Amino acid sequence: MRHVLVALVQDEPGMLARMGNLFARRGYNVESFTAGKSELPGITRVTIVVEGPSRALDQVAKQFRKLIGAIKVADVTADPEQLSYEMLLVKVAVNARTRQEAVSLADLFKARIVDVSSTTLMLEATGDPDKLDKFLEVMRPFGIKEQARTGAVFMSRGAKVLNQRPVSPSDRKYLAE
Amino acid sequence: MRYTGAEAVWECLVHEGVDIVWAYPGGAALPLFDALAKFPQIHHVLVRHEQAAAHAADGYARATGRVGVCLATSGPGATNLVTGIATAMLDSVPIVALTAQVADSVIGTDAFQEINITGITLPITKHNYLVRHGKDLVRVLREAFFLARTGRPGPVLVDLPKDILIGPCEFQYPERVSRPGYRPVVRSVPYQIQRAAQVVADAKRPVVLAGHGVHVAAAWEELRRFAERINAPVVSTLLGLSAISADHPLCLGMAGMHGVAWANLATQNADLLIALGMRMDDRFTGSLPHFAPQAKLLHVDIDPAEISKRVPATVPMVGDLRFVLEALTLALAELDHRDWLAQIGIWRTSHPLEVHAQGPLPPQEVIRALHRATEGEGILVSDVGQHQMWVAQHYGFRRLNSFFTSGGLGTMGYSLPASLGVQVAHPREPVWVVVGDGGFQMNLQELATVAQERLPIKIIIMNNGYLGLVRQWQELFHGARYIGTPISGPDFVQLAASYGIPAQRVKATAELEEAIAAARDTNGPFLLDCKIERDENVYPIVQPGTSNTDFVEDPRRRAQEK
Repeated sequence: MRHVLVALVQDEPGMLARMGNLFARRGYNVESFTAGKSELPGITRVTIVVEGPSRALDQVAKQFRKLIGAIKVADVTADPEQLSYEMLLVKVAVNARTRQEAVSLADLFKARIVDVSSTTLMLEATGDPDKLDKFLEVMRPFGIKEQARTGAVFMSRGAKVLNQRPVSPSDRKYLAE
Repeated sequence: MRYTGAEAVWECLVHEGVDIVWAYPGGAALPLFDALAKFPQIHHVLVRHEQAAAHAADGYARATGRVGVCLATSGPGATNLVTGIATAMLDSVPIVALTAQVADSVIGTDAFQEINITGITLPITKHNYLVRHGKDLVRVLREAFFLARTGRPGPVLVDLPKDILIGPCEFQYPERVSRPGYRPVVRSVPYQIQRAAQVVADAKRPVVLAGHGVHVAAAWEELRRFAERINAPVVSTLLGLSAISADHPLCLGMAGMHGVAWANLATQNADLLIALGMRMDDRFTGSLPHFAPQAKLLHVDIDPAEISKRVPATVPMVGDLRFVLEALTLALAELDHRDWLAQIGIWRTSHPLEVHAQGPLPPQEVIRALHRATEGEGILVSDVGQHQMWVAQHYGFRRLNSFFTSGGLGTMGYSLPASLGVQVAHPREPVWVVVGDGGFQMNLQELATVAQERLPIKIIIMNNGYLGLVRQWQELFHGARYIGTPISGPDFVQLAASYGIPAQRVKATAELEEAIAAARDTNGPFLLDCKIERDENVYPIVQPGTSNTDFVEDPRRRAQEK
C-alpha cells in the first residue's frame, strides 16, 4: 500500500541519510521524498511517499520517531483532511500542426506555458499528484521529451497544524502524560 | 577555561565520570594520546585490536550500567570498531566510541586513512556525530553520553577531525542537553497500570518473560517482588539470564531454540505472557504462528518500536521497568497459581536437563563443575556457539547480572575482549570466560592485554576442534557434510605460556574439579584447555520454523528409557 509520512526534523548534516536508511534497509522504494524549510527555524519539513506493507511501514514510522533529530512524524495516509500538491515541469514535442491542441489541453488542466521553441513547449502544472498523472497521460501522444516532478507535499485542511497534531491513537497509548 | 580540542575531549570524559578508556592509537588520534598525559585520572588500556576496544567498553558497560568508552584512530582503526559497535547496538549497550578523523580541510578527498565512519556506522549506532567546528565539540560529547545512557541505551560514535583536536576549544560543560523530539518515556500512565493489573489478576497461567531490559533498568529486586506477588514463574531470554537467581523457586531458566523443555512448555501453554524488556527475538519465539497460541501479551519496554513489532501486544506499556514493576506490584493483591506451578513442576520432572554424553569429557560437565567451584556465584562471559548454550542451560546463575554474552548479533570473538571490561568492573573477583576454540582464535591477541593489565581472567576453552554449533546444523540439516567447520588451532597451553599466563589441559571429567580449583585459586589469569567431546550436540533444540512445543530432546535419553 502507498503510505505518506510527513515529518519535522532538525536541519542537520546526516539527517537525510538517516531517514533514507530506514527505507533502504528494508528494500522499500521511495516514490517521492521532498524536504524544505518549515515554519519553525532550524526545522525541516519532509514528505515521504513510499510503497510497502502497512505493518512494516508502521514499524518504519516507529523507527523514524526514534531517530535523534526527528521531532514529529505522522503517517497521514488515512487522513481525509489532507491536501496534497505537487509541481510538474514537462517538455512536450510540438509542431505547427499540433501546437494549438497542446495549448488547449494544457489550458484545461490549468497548466502554464513557461517556454516555447519551434519544436517544444514547456508546461508547468501544479496540483494533486493524481491530476498531474492524468495531465501527463493526455500529453503523452505529443511526445514527452523531458519531465521533472517535485514530489508531493501534504498539509491538513482547517486550523490543525502538524507541530501541534495530537499523537496518533496508536502512539498515544505509549506516551506518558 | 581554554583547552586544545584534545584536552577538551578528556575533560568532558572526566565530567562524565569516565576513568577507563579502551584505546588504540594512530596518526590522526595522536593529539588525543598526547593530551592524555595531563589527565592521570583516566586509565587508558592499550588493546591489541580495535574490535577488542569496543567489546571491552561494552563488557564494562554491561557490568556497571555506566557508559563504556573506546577510542580508535581514523580509517582502519575506526572500521575495526564496527563489529563491536554493532554488537552493542543489537544488545542496547551504552558505549561512546571516539574516532579520530583526518583534518577537516581534507575530508572528502580520500586522504590517507580517511574513511566515512559516520556513514558506515549510521545504521549501527543510536546516533553519531562528525564534529565540524571546535565550538560544537563539548556540546556534542555531552550529548553523546546523554544519548548513550538514556532511554533505550546504545552506542554513540563521535568522529573527531585532527585539526579540531589540535585547535583551541573553549571549555564549558553544558548542564542541560537540548534535543527537541528526544523524550525517552519512563513513566506509565496510571490507567495502563490498572488495565495491566486487571489482565494479570485475570490470568490463570501467567508467565513472566525476563529480558535484557531487566538488567538495563537494574530492576532485579522489582522483578523478584513482582513475580512473588503474582506467584508466576519467570522465564528468561538468553540475555535475561541472571535477572533472577536460578535458586529462586519461580525461576525456570531460558526458553527458546535451546531453552529448557519446561520453560518452553510453560511459555507455550501460558494464557498470559508478561514480557519485560525483551523483544520477542526469533531465537526466543520459534515459529511465530505457533508461539504461545493461547496467550495474551502484556508487553513492557522502554522502546515503543519493540511493542507489537513481532507479537501483537494485548496491553502495551512503555516505560522504565523499575517504575512499571513497582507500580504493578502495588496494584496487585497476592495471587496464587499453585496448580499452574505444579503443572510446570511435572514438565520439569518429565523432561529433565540431563547429561547423556559419553566419553571422557562431556562439555556439559565442564559447565556443571564450574557451577560447583563457584557455587553459582561466578561472573561469566561467554562467547557464541554451543558452549554459550551449555552455559545458558547448565550453569545456574545464582548471582544477579552475572552473565555477559553477545545475544542479538551473536558475535564470535566477543568473550575474551569483553571480559577485560567486565573484569575491570569487578576488580575483586575473577571473571570466567567460556569460549569455543573457534571464537577464542578470533580475538586471542587480547591475551597480551590480559597479561599487561594483570587481570585475573580465567579462560575456559571448550575445545572440540569444530565450529560446533554450525557443525551441529550441518549434522541435522545439511546431511552431516562438515564443510568449513573442522578447525585446527595452536597448543593453547603453550600459547598461554608464551604470554606468561599459566595454563592446564583437561581431558577427563575426573580432572575438572582440581583444574577449575587451580584456576580459581591462582592469583592472576589462568587458561584451561578443555578437550571436550567432539561430536556433542546441544539439546533440546527447536528446529528452525517449528513450534517451541516441538523441541527435540537428546535421542540418547529415549534410548536410555527403553
